[in-house]
Amino acid sequence: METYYNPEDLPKFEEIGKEAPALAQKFFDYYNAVFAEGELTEREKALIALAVAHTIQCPYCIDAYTQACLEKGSHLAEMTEAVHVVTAIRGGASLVHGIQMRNIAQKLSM
Amino acid sequence: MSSTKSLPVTVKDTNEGITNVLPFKDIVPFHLTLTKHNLKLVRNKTQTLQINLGFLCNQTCHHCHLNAGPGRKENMDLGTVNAVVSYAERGGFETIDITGGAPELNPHLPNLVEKISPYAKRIMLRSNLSALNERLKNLADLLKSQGVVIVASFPSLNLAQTDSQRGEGIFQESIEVLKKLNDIGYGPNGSGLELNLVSNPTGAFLPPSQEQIEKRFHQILENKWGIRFNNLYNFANVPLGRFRQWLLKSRNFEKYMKKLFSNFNPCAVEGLMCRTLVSVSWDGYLYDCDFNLAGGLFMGGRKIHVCDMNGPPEPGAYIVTANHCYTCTAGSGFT
Repeated sequence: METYYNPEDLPKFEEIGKEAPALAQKFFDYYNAVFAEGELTEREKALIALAVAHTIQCPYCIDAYTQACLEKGSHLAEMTEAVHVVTAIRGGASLVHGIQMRNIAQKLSM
Repeated sequence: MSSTKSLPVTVKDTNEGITNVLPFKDIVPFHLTLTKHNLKLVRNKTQTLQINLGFLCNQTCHHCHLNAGPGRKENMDLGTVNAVVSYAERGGFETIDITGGAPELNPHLPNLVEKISPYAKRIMLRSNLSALNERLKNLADLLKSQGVVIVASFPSLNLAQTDSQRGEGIFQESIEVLKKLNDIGYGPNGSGLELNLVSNPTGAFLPPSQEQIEKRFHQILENKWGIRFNNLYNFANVPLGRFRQWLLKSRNFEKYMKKLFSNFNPCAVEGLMCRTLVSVSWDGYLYDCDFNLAGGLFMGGRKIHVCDMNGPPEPGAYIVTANHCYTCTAGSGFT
């Protein structure tokens, strides 16, 4: 069955540079610099990326950063906790908007 | 992705007599990749004699390239042990690297350590820790008196990952044995008794950077359990034996082989261990490395017994390769 997402497209990411190579070069240079060891380790950065990948629900990113996390030495319990962190933030972001709901409802109500 | 021209390749399962041919249209045979990079894989001065005492093991680890386990009958006998000791005397090796299976399960291990120690500066014993646990009382004095370096398997800081690779309960037992080794003087405490760890990935993925993971292992082992060790070595899993079976069964084989191939690093070839090591199997035959032993590929392509060798293999001698060699050239390499 045809789908919009194909795992074999992930290694083709660099092909995005074919029509706009200068912009792609800048993007990939920046991308690689972001994930290099800095104040945070590569392992920590991969865990953040994995968590964010779940928030933006990108299957390519989830595939890539699950592998990256394992290859940087993380284990499944750490990776699962990272997903819970973004889930908490995402859920919290919804829930905190309930205050707006309450404010509006209070203003309209007797 | 690599720009290498694709060739149809088939891989034959040589190590277990099973013909299992799989097409890999994106993987170039290892020797052609060397040629493409103008590289030759030949021997330097052979410094290490690796002795595989047999395939008998108390564990059945999923990543084992030798398919070692409790059911294996191949174990080095006393005659071969004596022949290997005699070869060590003739060979002038700097390092003796004793491995298995679980070498502790071979009854001739104490004899070998005692007899071979005068012929090399450094004697290493590779241990899965659980096999050493109940034998440590008997072996401790010998290992300490001969300054034997212990190289212990410890794949992960996580119980679930470790037990999934090595068997239930192995993580906790490994922690206990590492503590015991620290207690008898092994580790960086000034005694000179070296305790090194080996970490293999617990699945079909490559290992982390050695420097980064070593730092983390030091921190967590010391903080959580008070365990200290000298060095950590990080090795990729070799697609032979039980690991190969697992890759096939879990349908990870092709992807894993492509990963190894696409991570080929020409700079890693210079430091490959097969350039400075010769491996002798439980029955006394020689191989360029333990992986070629698992694959049944004899040293230099010729079946030579240790008794027929006058000294170490000559520098410049040809090293047999196959596609499992991509494991040792992936990323920063396996030296």
